[in-house]
Amino acid sequence: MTVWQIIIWIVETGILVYALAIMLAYLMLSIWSAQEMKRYLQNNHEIDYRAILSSPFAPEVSLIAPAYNESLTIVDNIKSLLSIQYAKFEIIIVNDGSKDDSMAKVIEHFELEKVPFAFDQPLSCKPIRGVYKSKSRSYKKLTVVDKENGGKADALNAGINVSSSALVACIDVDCIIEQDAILKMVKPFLYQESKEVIATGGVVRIANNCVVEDGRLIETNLPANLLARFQVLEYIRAFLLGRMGWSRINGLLLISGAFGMFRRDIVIAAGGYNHKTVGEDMELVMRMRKWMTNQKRPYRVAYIPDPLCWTEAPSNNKILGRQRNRWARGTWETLRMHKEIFLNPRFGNMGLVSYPFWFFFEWMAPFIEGLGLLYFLFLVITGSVNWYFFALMLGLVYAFAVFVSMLSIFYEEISFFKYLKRRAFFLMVLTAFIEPFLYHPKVVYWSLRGNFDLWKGKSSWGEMSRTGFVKYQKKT
Amino acid sequence: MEEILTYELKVQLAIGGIVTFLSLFLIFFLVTILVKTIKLYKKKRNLRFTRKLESRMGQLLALEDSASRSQIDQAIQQIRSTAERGWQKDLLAATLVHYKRNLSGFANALVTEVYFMTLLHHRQMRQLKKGSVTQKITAMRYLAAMRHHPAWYETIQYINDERRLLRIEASMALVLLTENPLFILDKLQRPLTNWQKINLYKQLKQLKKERIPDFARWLNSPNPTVVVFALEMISRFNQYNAIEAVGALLTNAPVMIQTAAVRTLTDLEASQYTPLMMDLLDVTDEGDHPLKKALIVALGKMSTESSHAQSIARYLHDSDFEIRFEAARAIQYIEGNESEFLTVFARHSEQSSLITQHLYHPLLN
Repeated sequence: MTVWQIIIWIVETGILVYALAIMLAYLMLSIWSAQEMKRYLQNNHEIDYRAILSSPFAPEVSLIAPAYNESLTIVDNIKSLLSIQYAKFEIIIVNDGSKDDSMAKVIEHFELEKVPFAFDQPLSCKPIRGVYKSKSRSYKKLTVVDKENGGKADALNAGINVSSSALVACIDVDCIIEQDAILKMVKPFLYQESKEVIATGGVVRIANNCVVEDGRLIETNLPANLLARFQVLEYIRAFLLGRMGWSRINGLLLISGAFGMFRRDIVIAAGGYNHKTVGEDMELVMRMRKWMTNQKRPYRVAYIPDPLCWTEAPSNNKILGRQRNRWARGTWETLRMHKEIFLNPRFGNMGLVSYPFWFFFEWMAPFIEGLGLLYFLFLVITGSVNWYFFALMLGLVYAFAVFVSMLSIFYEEISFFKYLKRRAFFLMVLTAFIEPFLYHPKVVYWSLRGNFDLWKGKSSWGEMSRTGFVKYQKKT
Repeated sequence: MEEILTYELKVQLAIGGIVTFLSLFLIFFLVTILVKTIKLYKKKRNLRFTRKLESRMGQLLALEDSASRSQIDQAIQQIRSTAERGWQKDLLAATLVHYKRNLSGFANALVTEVYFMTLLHHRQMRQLKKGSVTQKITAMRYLAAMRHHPAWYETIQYINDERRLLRIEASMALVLLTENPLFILDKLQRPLTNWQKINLYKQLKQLKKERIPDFARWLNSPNPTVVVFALEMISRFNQYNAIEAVGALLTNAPVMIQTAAVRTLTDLEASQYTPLMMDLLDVTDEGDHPLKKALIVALGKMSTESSHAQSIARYLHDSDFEIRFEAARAIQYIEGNESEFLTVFARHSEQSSLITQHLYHPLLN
């Protein structure tokens, strides 16, 4: 064989082996996910969560929500949060140096007054300009922290400093949180026996085109916008298939920044959110896990597959592209920061299974796909394409992708059954068929672009404009 | 590698893979449609049945305690005839348990009578013995809610089951099924989880006052989590007669138990123990933060002696913020806002000044 033939053989075999490996990995995740789903549904069959609601043993929870330029929706969002069903909780809104009139609106609507609030500052953050409490007893649970702009991680750290509860729930202020979300998220902490539960993650679902009334989700619908619909399918796959599977083997590396609950003492011991990455949510979980391993304390990161948090998905390519760009940068930054976990048996499944998966099949996948595309173009140019074999390979990958999507839809139907209408089901299946052609290539491009931008030194979040839930249809 | 994976073999594998995945897709597609159809059908079916059942239950519950036996029997018979199939009986049981938990007096007694007259207890006993894990759990809950005491023999077998869910449910059910509500605490070999505590407390609140046990008997349990639970229950049910037994735990007990004992004595306003608490505070190690905090809070709430305020004042400069804050608050309770200690403390640093302002501000207290 010539050198050139050897190179071609390596590329072809490498891509083939990679494809088979990723298929096997997803199949394993599917099996673990099914086992974990069964266990979760069994453990939570007709649970009376009201017992927690009225119990003196329920832990105190601080709901921390950073806000930046949320003038359009902040008052409604805070009202929605105040209606959450839980006895012992406080809401801490952190105004991260907004340039609009968010702060003024909140002060006026909730009758806030600046107070001399004493708190410790174990986590570094930008200077706090003031802490506000309401003069009205109706808003007794609300605390608003006004600080200089420092980014989401910085704002969360400020909120954690101000809180005094044992548990902190870090959320996005513009998400709709289900009324019983706190009750469900708190349960794993109460259930713990030999292993300490240090964090729980919740499922984030897409609220586009859903009926929202007074900050509560009344009716679930699939988005009319195709791009948002692709994301619905993507989120169902990621949460019901991916994270359920990781939770089964205690290998969960990521809790969504939109809704996660943590032990405050462990967050502080681990150092809080990191300002130096845009993937602060994943980075914190990995650091907390590392800290617990180094302390030799058995622990678990739990996961609640119940849809508890609804968010607005980007419905145009520009905003979605920015989001995926940031996610790609955040993934690499986090993996690089914690590279000592890679294949390190000391970290258990996190080191031997989760981290390698994220490295090879999450971070590296766009590069392999890009390489495959370039190789294909090379073959086309040199007239070396075996079109029949190419069609077969494409068919194989496509059939697998469609099967995995269908499996996710199946899991959704047998578990939480949120999309009641038959039409929604058929629409999701149709979306699964067209996603590999119309959506996946964009995701690959944005991931590659994100990594390229990171290499060029980009570190910002980018502007994430929202239309706000007020524009969704209201039930009449 | 070339010899093993010939072109023909690759083609066959690819075709096989496509056929396999598309077949799996089709199977899951059809199964999902079936599941969805069944779920939607069951939802509508259950809704129709529940409406009919509630209408009949409404007629029964509308009967006053002066109603004749025949009227009651007739109403019960109508309900019985409504629920003939297995799924209907399960829904009936769920409805009855819901009513049982929310009604009192004559209505409550009627609900119980319906449950037993429709032989639902027999069904649930069968499920408890031979059903799936989910059915066993449901059966335990319903039998306990209906106080069907013969179920305790089957239920107690799960108290140390390997399956955590069954253990927890059994421990909760037994509170309502026996004359001795918390005898399971004697048999518990594993730590009591917070979830169990929440649900045990919920069950205990349903008992009549005379059936609430004297929790002091568990203060000597070899299981420290049971001791802590007993202390918490002594607080919750204001068992003042247990104060002396609780006070004995201030010395010669693990730190976790000492801390819980301090909190219990605080809740019961056992101010006679403040001198002992003061002595304990003096010897508490730097690392026993929860105990130190509990003692400072206790002294603040119960002590009136200036000497205690003076001793607590040294904690105003503790390395831990929470300790500093609680020490300031304790001094405020003992000596009031005009305390010299607090005045000096406020001048010490910006944060100290903020702590004192925080304590004085009406919106923060």
